[in-house]
Amino acid sequence: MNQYSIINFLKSLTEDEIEKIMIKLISENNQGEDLLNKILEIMVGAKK
Amino acid sequence: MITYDYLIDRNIGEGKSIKFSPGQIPTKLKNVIVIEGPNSSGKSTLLNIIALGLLGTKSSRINPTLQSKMSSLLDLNHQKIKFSFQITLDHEKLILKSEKNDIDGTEFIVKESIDGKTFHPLSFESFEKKYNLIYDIPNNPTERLPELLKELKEEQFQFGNRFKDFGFFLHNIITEINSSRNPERLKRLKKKLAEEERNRKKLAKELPELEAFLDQLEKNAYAEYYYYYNNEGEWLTKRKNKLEQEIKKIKGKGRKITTTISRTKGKVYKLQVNFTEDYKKVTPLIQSALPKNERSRFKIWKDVNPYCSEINELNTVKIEATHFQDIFGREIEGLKKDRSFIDARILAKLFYALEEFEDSILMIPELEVTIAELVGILRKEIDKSSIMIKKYDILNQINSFLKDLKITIKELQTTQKELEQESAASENLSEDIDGFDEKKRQFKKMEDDLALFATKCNEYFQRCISKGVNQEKLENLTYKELVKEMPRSGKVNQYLSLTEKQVLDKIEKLQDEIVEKRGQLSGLDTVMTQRRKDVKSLENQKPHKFEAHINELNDLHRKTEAISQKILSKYNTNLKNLINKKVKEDQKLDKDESRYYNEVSKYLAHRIGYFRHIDRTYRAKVVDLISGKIETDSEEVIYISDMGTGQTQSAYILSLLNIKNDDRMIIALFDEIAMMDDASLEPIYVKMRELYKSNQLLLGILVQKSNELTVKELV
Repeated sequence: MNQYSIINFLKSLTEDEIEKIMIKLISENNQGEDLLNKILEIMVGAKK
Repeated sequence: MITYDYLIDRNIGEGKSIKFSPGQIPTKLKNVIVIEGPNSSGKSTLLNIIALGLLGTKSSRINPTLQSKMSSLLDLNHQKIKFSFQITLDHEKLILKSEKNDIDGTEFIVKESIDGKTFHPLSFESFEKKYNLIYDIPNNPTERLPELLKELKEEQFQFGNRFKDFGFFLHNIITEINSSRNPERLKRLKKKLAEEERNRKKLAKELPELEAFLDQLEKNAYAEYYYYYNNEGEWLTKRKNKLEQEIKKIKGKGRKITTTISRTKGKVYKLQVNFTEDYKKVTPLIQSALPKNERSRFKIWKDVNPYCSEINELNTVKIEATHFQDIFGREIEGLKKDRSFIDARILAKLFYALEEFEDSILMIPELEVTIAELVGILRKEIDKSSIMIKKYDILNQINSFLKDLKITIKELQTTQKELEQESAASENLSEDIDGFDEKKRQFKKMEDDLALFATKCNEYFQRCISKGVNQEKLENLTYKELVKEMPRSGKVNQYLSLTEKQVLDKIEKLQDEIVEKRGQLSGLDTVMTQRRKDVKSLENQKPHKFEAHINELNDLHRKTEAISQKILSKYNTNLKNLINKKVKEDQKLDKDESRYYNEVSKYLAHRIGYFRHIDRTYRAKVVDLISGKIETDSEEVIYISDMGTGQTQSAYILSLLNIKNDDRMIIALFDEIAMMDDASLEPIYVKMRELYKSNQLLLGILVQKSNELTVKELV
């Protein structure tokens, strides 16, 4: 996959930080529980 | 390095074929090369075989013209083929090979070795994960720039699906948390259960009260209406019988009057006939016998219409008849006193007495004449006074006729009067007959009403029985007696003050309400049973590991659903419209569409990177396919339509090769690049060398037409 281009392309279309994080993590082939854990880690960390 | 071999056996009809195999182009070539050569030297065939052998027919990014050429190689009706090639990298142990050994079949196999020894087959999916096959003819590249977007569309679609998958995953986790021991959910369930129990208790109290009230209302209402229709029926039966008698009476009276009138009319007719005949008989007699001085009176008589029996006419006749009787009577009296008439009458009497002896020759003593002679003498004497006697007879006849006529007139007038009276009576009867129709209508209505009352009466009787009212009492007791035995609340009394229809509607509504409440009660029992099970099951469960993050999960799920929806639907549509050139420069776009298309322009600029225009090299910053302009880093605007074909080809090929941070190895095959001059080709050569050196390019072959065959090695 042409990751660089598609990641930047999709990220530039959103202003939501969580959405940007999800795009990045998904482009790194994360999925399912791994993806969820990584997002939660970031979300919970951000809250703290 | 690529080594290859092939054999094509092409059918040219009538059982003949031509065979092709590598000839002019060496079968061992470097990884990055430019092949120039004349037509039919095998350049395009080599590219076709390599692309086919690397599963190019399954790639949606390769344009239809090339797809068709690859498929044609496997069309057994056209030609048969066998081939093999192997691609290696000098500084790597990687080997990629493809073989089709059976010339009569269509199957071939792609294999890969990463250690230079062991090979394993590659499916299309696993090939796509590791290798990026680019096979193109960059003809008319300006028109084909939108095709670059197909790649973006595919990638975008894959991203959308990944989000969608993650959305499903999140949904499942949320469902699991909701069905696991979730204190919040448990609290909610218990609260709900308590509410349902309250509702059930309320319903369980209301329902029997409602049923009892309905039962009381139904019994009282049905009994009341039963008695009502029964009494109405009896009363109406009496009225109907009375009316029936009246109708019969009118019918009898009508018949009698009709008969009398008919009879009187007959009598009037007969008398009229008599009158007419007598008048006609006597008139000429009067005319001949009347003295001249009475002619004017005769004129009055004569003007009478003997066929008319009107009262005035009849009175005229009566008066004139009396007048004539008087005249003729005086004349008769005068004659009776006349000596000659007295003698003539004696002689006549003698003559008539002796006439029967006219033939007798008996001599009358003393007279010396026979009886016959005496009769002859008497006849002669009578003849002398015959006019007088005849007149006398006529006058008597006239008076007799006039007498009869007067009697007839009197009788006629009396009968006419009777007829008038009868007609008057008949007219009165006609009025009765008019009323008779009304009575008959009333009678019919009464019969209909009686039938209706009977039906209603029977219906309410049956309803009373079905509600448990004692049949014997219903048949024998009066309404008051029965009501005394039936409980009746004030509310029932209120209801019964309404009309029958209103009461029946209320009963129906109450029945519906009871059915609904029973349903609610039953539904609540089912729901509560399940609810209790849920509470119990929840209490026995362990908490879910993500339970603490339920709010974040819900938030994430919403976001994920929204993104996947946006990418798979909105972005996809936007891109489709751009690819199909449906977006026009003057079209009004909303904020999101404008933003999207701006990002697409930046994406395309990334893909094209550096390009040549006239005599300079530029770097694309924005490639706007809608307006057909390229903005450069140096803030210049170049119209795509102004670019030379060779330069556009160069920009297009560069856009295909400008793939950043993609781990996949590229196999790039470009046919018919003849429009490019050395200046335009140079950036491509540079790009290919760069990709090869960074281990991103496995094979790069550029082909163009030339009079002589040469193979230029770029690495």
